[in-house]
Amino acid sequence: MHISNGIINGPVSLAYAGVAVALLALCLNRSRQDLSDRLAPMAGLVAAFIFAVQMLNFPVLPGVSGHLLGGALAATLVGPWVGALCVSVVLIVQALIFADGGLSALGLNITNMALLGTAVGYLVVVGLMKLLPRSAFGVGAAVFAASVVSVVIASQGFVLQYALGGEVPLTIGFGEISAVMGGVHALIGLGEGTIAALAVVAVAKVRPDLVYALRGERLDGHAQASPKRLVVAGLLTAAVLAGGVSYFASSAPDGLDATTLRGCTVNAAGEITGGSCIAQSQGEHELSGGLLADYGINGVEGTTGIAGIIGVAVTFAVGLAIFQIVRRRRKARV
Amino acid sequence: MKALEISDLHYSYPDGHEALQGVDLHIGAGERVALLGPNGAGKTTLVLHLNGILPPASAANMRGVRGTVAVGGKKIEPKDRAGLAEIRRRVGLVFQDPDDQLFLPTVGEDVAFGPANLGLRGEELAAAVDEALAAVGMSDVKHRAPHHLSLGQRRRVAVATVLAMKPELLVLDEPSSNLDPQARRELAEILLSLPVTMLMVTHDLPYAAQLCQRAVVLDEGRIVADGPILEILADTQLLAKHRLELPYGFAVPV
Amino acid sequence: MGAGHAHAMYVHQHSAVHHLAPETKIAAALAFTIIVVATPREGLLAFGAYAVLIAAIAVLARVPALWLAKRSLIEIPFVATALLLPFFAAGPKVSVLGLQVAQEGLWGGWNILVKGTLGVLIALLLAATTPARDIMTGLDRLRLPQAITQIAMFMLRYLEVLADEARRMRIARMSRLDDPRFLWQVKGFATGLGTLFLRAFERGERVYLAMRSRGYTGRLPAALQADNVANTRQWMTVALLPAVALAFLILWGLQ
Repeated sequence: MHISNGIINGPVSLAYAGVAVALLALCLNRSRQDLSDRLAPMAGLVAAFIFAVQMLNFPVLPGVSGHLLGGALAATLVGPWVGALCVSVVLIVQALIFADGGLSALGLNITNMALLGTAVGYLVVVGLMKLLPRSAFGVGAAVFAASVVSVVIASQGFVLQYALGGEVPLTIGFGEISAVMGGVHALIGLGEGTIAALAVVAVAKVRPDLVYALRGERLDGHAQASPKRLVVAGLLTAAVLAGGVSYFASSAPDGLDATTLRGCTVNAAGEITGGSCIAQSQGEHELSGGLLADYGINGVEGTTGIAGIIGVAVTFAVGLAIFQIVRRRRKARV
Repeated sequence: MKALEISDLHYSYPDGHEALQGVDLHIGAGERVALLGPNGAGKTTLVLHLNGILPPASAANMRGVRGTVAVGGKKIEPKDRAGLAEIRRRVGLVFQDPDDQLFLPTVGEDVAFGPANLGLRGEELAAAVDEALAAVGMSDVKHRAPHHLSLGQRRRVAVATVLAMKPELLVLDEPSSNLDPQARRELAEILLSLPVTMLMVTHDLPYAAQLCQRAVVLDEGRIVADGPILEILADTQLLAKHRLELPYGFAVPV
Repeated sequence: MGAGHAHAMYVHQHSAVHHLAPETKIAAALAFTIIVVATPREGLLAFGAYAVLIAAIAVLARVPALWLAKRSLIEIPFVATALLLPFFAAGPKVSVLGLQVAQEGLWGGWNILVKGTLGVLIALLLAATTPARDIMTGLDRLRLPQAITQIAMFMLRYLEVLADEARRMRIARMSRLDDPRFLWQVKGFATGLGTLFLRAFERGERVYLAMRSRGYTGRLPAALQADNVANTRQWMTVALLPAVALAFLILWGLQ
């Protein structure tokens, strides 16, 4: 997930660093309001928790394991401001002390994972909590959906960054990249969401006052959140989401094209970097008969849709495989 | 002048739980007192009153919050920031889990934290740190990370972190818990060598008997017994009534 | 990401590089990274020169080459991206070992590979020669808000405590025959995370109380970070790295 140096060009990285600094300042300010002089030790422990969570591997399938990203989890537990601040600190420390994630890409990584991921996650949780019952299952489902959406949106943040300042133009259009990234991350979000939901429910049962998104209210009833129900619900969410994203992407090529052009102006301002922008290379390749000329206003509109469908199909295939395994195990038990 | 004077102290938590219901306690300078009582008796709440962490300034006029605490003749005023700083210098709190207390990357820095907050700088600060570490026999771990020390070492360092502030009253929460017998004895020797007034919260009755002359039993937010420790430990009825028990095979030395 | 995170990457040595003030090293590493990223991918000579610079620092800092090589494996996902790019990039194709690949993609893959590697190496050298807490002190002196450096410091202090707690909880779970192999068997693991959060949060509250007991009012006393502040000479010395790199960039990179 951590973007390294050299994937996104200098000017765009710099612009994102600026965005990250401004938004972090806001988060810092709001976090102080939440925690006052308790900020450093409390946020420090929460950041340590997120970091520790990212180190713990959980099984997905035999031989396949994953780890949490924790953005939506953090936002649900400690609120969007402290949450974003803590994830940012984790990313800064990972870049400086563990050489994980490029120094020049720090702004990009913070924007995607700390700011976008937590903000979206929090909005979804709070929105869904208004609709869902205040039961363990309601909270679990809200956190689950928030995690999936958060991870997918964070991945779309990267796609946007690549569209703005990716160093290499690709044969596949950004609609396809968006769909494929969305599909893959919807699957990642499945694990993320299951774990985050169960963890939040565990906290909410004991100390509902420590779940920021619950705003101090207790849970109703004693309904249990079962991992199985979450996985099933999640697969549906993931499929709908992957489909939705690809539909959105393929139905709005103009919007994406506009972003590539925007990337161009940024790039033109910093030509010393030598990074090629999409629209520029597009021109070159039109002359040389390259494939990228197909992308954009005169693009073959079908291709973006196809990639989206592939993304959904992959999601479904994996989902079905999991369903099969569940069913077989259930039969075996009976 | 008394080292500690608590009179008619009441405290209720915001959820309504009445943790302290009228505590009166006087401790003279140089005394070593054991504070005994079952879990949930209000011991920790009482300890947090000794340096003004409770009651929070915002709760000063709430229902169920009254009474006074004075340290060395100085009354604690929750709203008086400068006064609270002085109280916190006079009262050294050693928490049960050293990991809660030692939060800085190296032992030396952590011991320096308190005196630096008091405004000590340079040579003076370094001297305070070295003196405190020497007092607990931990001078050689000054540059190590707390996480890499044994529990016994960490607890001794935790004592040093408050000793560095030259407290008049040392308050220890469960100092002997989870220590191996040697670490437990070494800590006892160190504590006995310190020339300060001491209040020790503990369930380890033999340890209390070894270190303190006087015992105070707290239960349900009230002081239910106060006297020479050996007399209190010999009163089996009193102990049983307040869920205190001597370990198997232990007899009160006469 | 991985288990390697539990231990910071400091390599204990007594070299000139180790003894530099941390703020100068951070600034130099950052400047160097920016210069590397700003170098056009065709500037092969410049990249070569950067690599020589890095090797020189590594020798000066007595950081073993094998250590650097092992730690730089963190970059592998990006190497994979770099290797895939030639097949997905647009533009004219060239034939390499009988495979049709895009010229643009080859350059792009090279670009990611070389910039990523150089970036990881300089970051590793920074981490190898500067203890984690000094990096925080350095950031503080570079005017990063103290709230952020303080949070980071607390995080580093308690990371291992929490990781140990998680490990003990896992062992306790496994001793009671919880051995998840599928995602829908992770209830124990996930609930454990909830417990870990509760413990972390409550520990935060206790740490705060213990700090307040020793006079904490929201800022760490400056006296704790007084040693090894950079002087002009140190800044000048360290400025050599980005200056030389910039010279290479202008000489060979921008043709």
